[in-house]
Amino acid sequence: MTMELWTGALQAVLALVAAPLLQGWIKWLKAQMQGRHGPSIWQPYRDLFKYSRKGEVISGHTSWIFRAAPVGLLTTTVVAAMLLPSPLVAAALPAMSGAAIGELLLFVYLLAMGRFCLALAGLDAGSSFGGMGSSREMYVAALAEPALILAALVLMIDAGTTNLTAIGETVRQAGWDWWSASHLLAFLALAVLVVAETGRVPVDNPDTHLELTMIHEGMILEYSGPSLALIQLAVWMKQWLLLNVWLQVMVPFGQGWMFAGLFCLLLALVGVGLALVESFFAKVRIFRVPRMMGASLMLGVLALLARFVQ
Amino acid sequence: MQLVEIVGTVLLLAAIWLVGNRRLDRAVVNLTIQALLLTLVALITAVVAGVHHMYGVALLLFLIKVVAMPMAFFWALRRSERVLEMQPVLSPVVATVGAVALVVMVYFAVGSIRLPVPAVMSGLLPVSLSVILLGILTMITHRKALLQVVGLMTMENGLFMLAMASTFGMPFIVELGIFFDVLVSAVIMGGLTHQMKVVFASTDTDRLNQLRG
Amino acid sequence: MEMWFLAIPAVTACLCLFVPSPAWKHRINALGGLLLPIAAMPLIAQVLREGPQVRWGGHLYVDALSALLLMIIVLVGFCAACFSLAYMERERQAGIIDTAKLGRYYLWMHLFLLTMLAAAMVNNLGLLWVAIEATTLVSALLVGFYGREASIEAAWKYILLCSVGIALALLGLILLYFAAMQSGLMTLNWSELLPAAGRFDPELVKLAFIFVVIGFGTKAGFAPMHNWMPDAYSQAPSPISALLSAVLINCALVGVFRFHVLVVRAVPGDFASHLLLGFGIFSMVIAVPFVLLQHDIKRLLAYSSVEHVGLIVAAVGIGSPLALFGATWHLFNHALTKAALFLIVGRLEQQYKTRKIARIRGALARTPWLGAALLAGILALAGAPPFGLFMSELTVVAAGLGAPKGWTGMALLAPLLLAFTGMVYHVGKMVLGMPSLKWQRSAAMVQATSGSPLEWIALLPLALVLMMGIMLPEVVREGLLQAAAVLGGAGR
Repeated sequence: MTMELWTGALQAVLALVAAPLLQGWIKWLKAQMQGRHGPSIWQPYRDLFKYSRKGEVISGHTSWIFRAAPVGLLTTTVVAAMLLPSPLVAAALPAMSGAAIGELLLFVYLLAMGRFCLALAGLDAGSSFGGMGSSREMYVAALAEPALILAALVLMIDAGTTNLTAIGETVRQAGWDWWSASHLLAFLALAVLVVAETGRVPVDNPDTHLELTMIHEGMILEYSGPSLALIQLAVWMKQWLLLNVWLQVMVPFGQGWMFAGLFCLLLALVGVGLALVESFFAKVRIFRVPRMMGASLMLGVLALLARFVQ
Repeated sequence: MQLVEIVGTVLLLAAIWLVGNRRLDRAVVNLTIQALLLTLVALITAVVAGVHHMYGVALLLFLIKVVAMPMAFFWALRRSERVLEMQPVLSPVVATVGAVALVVMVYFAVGSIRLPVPAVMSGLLPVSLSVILLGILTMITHRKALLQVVGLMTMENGLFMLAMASTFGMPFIVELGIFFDVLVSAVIMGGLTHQMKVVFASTDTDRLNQLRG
Repeated sequence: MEMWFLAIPAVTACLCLFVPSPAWKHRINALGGLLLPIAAMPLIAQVLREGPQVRWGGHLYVDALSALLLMIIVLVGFCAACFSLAYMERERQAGIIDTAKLGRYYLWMHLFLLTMLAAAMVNNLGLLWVAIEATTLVSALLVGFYGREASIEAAWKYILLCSVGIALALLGLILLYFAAMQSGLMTLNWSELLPAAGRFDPELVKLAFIFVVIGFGTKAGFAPMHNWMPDAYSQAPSPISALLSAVLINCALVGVFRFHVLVVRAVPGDFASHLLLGFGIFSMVIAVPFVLLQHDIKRLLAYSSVEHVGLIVAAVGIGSPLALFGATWHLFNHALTKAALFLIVGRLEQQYKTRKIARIRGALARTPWLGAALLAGILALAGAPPFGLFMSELTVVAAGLGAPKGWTGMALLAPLLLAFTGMVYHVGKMVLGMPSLKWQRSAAMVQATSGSPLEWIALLPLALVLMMGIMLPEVVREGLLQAAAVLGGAGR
């Protein structure tokens, strides 16, 4: 049990440290693609540092929920990070590999709990933007969840477990045979969901405060100072975790530094992909988001079908 | 051969997308992507199974379906269509849902008849059948003459894929004949579409409603 | 050497395109049409004498069934070519087509003949598919020949429906090839598949047969895939309608039948027979109301084709030797009668400038010869004695009554009788009675335009059918019996 706690702690620390870097990388790439000079890769760290030193303004209409929410959000995210096995940690401490708890369903619903905290916070201040952001966030989440479970189901059935560590082990043993038609469909379904869950174009635009379009930014509009820092860090961590999961159910990583390097490389490449999507696609209207989620759901259904015909 | 199945599945996704698509030029792009995937299937079969005439088939596929036909289609589009947006019979969402429902049905049907086929076929058979039926669905749900041709070609793609995966293609002479027919049929349909444009001033097949009874 | 008659239509087609003078185009076409039967006869005779012939390294395989088909192709081809001479010249003089278009017409017509010859003789079922698809493509050009709104519509529906159908047939072929491969046979040659068919996996072959019946059945005009037929037949130039209905249908039918033989060997039980019987009876039943309520003479003939194809298919479905003989006989009779009728109706259409049944009145009084020919033709088609169709229909119905399920015969008889009434009703309105006053006033309009006496060639097939009804020549009977034996699976 201690072993698992230590591993978990390491994974959480890694996520805390690396998540802003991933965010910085994507932002930097996007700027390059759009022909801007853009902020440096390290800017997210500087932002966090800056926020934490600033004072905080809290509206008089808010309750304790408003102050508790960022803590709740970060806590759930950190716990989720503790669950998720990481190739990097496994490479650094081979003795501890396989010790992560890695319960996939728990992981998904911990993140959902974080979302719940944020949505409450958005409502709490009583501003119209916050309420709108919260309602939109829950709308997207409600659509994404069945699709996510369906797509994950295919992978979980084939691995015979809901444990991410065990799934990773199955993937490793299967090698590239893991890439069957049904799994391909599941990966695609998950890709759509990852984009939606990380609040990126075409579902949400992370860079704007335009009231008509914002989802995530709407919810956190009232926040400033250290609270904002907590929220931002949690959101970036969530992005890191989701991409992690996605890559790990998809690519057969072995153990050792070579695979850790490969993992980092792929993560960087996925960042390129996200930046490309953000540069070349427009954000869709909020009422067309169900279509994207529907497409993902259909991919999940097809994946399940293809799985059972074989 | 798992690779063939994956490529086939991507082709299936392209076909589903085609049913809900509502732009003429994207339909042609879609067809080109399908043809490219088909060429890939041919190459994989050639390499994996060591069937040498499949290299020839892949080359023919590439030249005819990836290069020649899309060029001809785009040329025809530029000449005859000013508006690339179509009015399909069904809304894209309904059409796509219908397409997926069709695929689901095919999977269940294939699952229930239990053919004595090896593992390669059992995965690809429903995929190919779905692509074939989606081709027909495309023809039903669109009014433009071009889309009918595209639907037909989609059907043929499904057939080619099945033939390549199950039997490593037909005997080469048959394969040549089929290619010849496909090419000629595309040319003739193109000619007919052009005549339609001249006579009816439109390529909507809705106008073809004189002959009854 | 005797296979070089295949070159005749090809050469004729090219010459007709490139010779500038219309008169010579006509002549070359007629010559090509005449040479074809003469050149093909030795092969047909040889098949009847010595059994199936294999040529060109096994690519061509001519058995009695192919010979029957060859006979139909060259005979009807000859009649259509000669008739075209008069028909197209009249169209040219009326200014409907120009010289260049005339050349294209002959080019396509002879290529059409060539593709049908190929379909009749190829051994490889895959190449059979290629040939049948090729017939669709060439004939689609001929269906849309006039370039009017209706003909483009007909051509479009024709090529699209048949292409979809034939794509499904290809699916069936792939499945069959797969079944053959599983039993260790890397070929689609019919002559090699036949002896091995017993080893094929029954489930796969069943599935393949369903697709093939739907696919080739679309081409042959099985209901409910027959929708293109009336459109195409009514819009094509009449000699082409004759070729489409008399020959092309049979090419597709023979495709179905060759598969059927394989399936009967591979699949125990009545599956294949019942499928054919079902399609046959359904086609006949579907055709009847359209025959009864028809207003267009060429569409009437098309629906009658649906009905007769249904009868032939049902006969093969019954499968007793008597039924198979009836099927081949009926196939032959129907081809000849339908060819004659389409040619006669083509002449009628040019004379009266309409295809509407309601507007052709008193044909016997206005154009006695033509009226009489029409009357005889339609009576023959409806199945009145003493024409051959009466005899062959009787044979099939008798076989149906003798089938294990007694209702089969009645199910065949009822649509036949209803169609008979419909045909006689329509022809009565057209040929009898006096032309209306309105017509008499504009009598000048229907003065016979110049044409060649060659167009009376249309009566040749009708005469043959009459002869077969009165007395079936021994050699024809022998040929039909051999073809029926092939249908029954008595190949090598």
